[in-house]
Amino acid sequence: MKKFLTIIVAGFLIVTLLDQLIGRGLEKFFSSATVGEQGHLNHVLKDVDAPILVFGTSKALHHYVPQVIVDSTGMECYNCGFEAQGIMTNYALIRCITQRYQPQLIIYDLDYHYDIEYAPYTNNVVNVRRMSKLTIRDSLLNAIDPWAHLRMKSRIYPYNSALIELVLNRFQNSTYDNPEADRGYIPQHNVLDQDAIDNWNPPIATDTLRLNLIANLIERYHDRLIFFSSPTYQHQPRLDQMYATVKKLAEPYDVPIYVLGNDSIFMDKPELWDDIRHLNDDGARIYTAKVAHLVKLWLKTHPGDK
Amino acid sequence: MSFVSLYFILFLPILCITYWLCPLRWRNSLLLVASVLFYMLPHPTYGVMLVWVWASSYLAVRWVSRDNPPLSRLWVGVLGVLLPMLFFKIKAPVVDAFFPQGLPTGIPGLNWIFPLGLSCYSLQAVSLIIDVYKGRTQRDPSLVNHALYVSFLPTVTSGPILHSTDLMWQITANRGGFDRDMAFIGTKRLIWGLFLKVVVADRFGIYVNAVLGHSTLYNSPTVFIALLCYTVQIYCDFAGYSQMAIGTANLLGFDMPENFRRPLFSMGLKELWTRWHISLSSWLRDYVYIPLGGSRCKTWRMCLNLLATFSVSGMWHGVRLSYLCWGLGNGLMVMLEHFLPLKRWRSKPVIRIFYSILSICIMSLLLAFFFDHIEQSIDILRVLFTKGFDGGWIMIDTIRTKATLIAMAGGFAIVAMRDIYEEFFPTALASWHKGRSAVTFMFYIILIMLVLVFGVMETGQFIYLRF
Repeated sequence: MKKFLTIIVAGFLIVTLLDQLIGRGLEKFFSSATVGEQGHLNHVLKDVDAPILVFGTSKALHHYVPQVIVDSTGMECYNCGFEAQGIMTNYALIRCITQRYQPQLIIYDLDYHYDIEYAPYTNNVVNVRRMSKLTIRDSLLNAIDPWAHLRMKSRIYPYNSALIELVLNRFQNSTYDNPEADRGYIPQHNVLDQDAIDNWNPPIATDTLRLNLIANLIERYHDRLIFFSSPTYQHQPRLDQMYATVKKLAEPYDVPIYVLGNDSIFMDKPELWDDIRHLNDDGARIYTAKVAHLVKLWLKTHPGDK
Repeated sequence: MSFVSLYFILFLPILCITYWLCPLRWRNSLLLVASVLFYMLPHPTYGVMLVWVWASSYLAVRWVSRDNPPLSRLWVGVLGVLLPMLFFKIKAPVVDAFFPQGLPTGIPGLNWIFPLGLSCYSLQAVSLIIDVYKGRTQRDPSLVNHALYVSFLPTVTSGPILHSTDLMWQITANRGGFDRDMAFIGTKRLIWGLFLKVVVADRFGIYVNAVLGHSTLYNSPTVFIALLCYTVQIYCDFAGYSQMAIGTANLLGFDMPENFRRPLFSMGLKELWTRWHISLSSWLRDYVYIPLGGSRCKTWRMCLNLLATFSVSGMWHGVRLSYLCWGLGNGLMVMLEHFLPLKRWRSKPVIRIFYSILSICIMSLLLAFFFDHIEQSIDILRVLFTKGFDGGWIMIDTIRTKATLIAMAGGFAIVAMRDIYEEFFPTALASWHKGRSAVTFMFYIILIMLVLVFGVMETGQFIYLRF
């Protein structure tokens, strides 16, 4: 038994050593990436310093045109949206960026599915694991997975499953490497099929952890936060119910929430949509103009240090 | 507790060290306590079913072991043990049909979900009752040994379903001291099983779920490829689970039969069922097919026996129309193969390879029924046979899909190489298994590193846990 245990312990030590060595290599490789999702993440975390920042899922990424906001407000703006990344990632992103500098305005595009609904399979936190400079990283990950502190002892773990994708990014452009991309905004140019039907009607079931993060966000940044909810292609009968909890959280702090779903400008207008969830560039510019108007009004009452 | 959870990774070394340091006479009791903990940790209420099966099978074994017991005792005993399993299996479709919103009341702590492993340890208990009745196994009067047999840690959550002749004698025998060779083999199995599950099965699962979960969005070739991938996913998932179960048993000094023997090399479905989920196939053969008359009867009767046995197999997975179709489809194919000159074809390499590939394709097509709801199967078959190239390809132009496909190909290549080696050079691999050279050692270190770098860490559950 002694010999068996010796070999097992030796194996464990070798695995630990290799994990640390390979992990360090991956850390360098990932933190130097300039393309793909990782490149976008690195840029947002290290370089972005605009006074107006946009956060949210793919809807944020494809719906908010910074140029329109810049033209309207005269302030620089950057779109920090990420595909399929909800409040878990965005909360971490905001906390990480505000460790470096304080933006004047944070625009958060709320997505019921990724930010409020109870849907554990969308608790995608891979990007959070790679935010090595984020001081609350471990406590945030622990809140989602009680074993996270143990998993994070592995240096490879934060980069698990992402290596092939990053290597492929060197040879092929991803969504984020779109040559038309401007200050993080990725335009889309499809026109939705006339017959498309949006039958998305999720159950109203809120996720405590997600709502806690939203509450935390409101409490911490209430003097510089506006929530928007992007337009829907077809009428969504339960829109008010979906965002009622967040409205209740935001009310005491006077944080505005503009639920712009069911807006007749966008509803049943396939020419403004890329697919049933996302506006195309034409739609995004009309929508951002509307957002910019509301932002301008907000800036009048919150002059900050512009 | 799942074999791929961090709980288990911490639990197993503590159990093994305590187990081997424990005096021999206390080991079975210790292992029983560990098994119950392992089983009940996620849902303590599962224990109710376990206690039912312990008690009913213990009484049944006692009852049938008396001199010349009538057959009715055996039937009553077996039905008593199977009662909870039958209840939960039948409950699911009844609730779906009459209470689409779910039952208004739940069992506290269980909420009507199917108790983990109930299908497996119930069959394991039935095996003991029948074997004692037939005189193939001696009754062990110890309640601890009996309970350990039913809820044996490596098999309690999802099998393999052991025959009493495989396990009971090992529990009652004086197993002696620590077997280093067996422990090394067990450790290697654990690592290989982990690799199969986390690197291969779960990676294939990403593609399979994306396509078969929304089959109507895709074209026929994409759906067909997804069905082939589903075969690989289930194979690697359950073979991985079985390797980990056997590896755990080995570390505790128990030997267990193989549950998968390179099924992708089978020539025909008849052979496939002697290589795939062997423990269930052999259980059904010994306790359903042979008692029905097996193949030593008229041809029409044998065909009927085959169909009945495969129907039971389907219904064991779930009392659903989809699983019944899956079972009957397999039964029909095995039945048809009885009329084919397979022995002659086996000696002709080209025909052999062609028929082996055809078998995998048929098996994959039948997996279209391997879902809880027949509507999903119908959607898949409709797309497969009517859509042609009309419809979406899986989005191979996106980098994420390409990365998934590359990871799938890499993982499968390692599995295929090992299976080819094992199939055609069995003695070489056997010595590799037993070997403790630096090369073997490094091979398993590399496998662990592959798990860390390429493993899918977020899913965690084995497919067969749902049965």
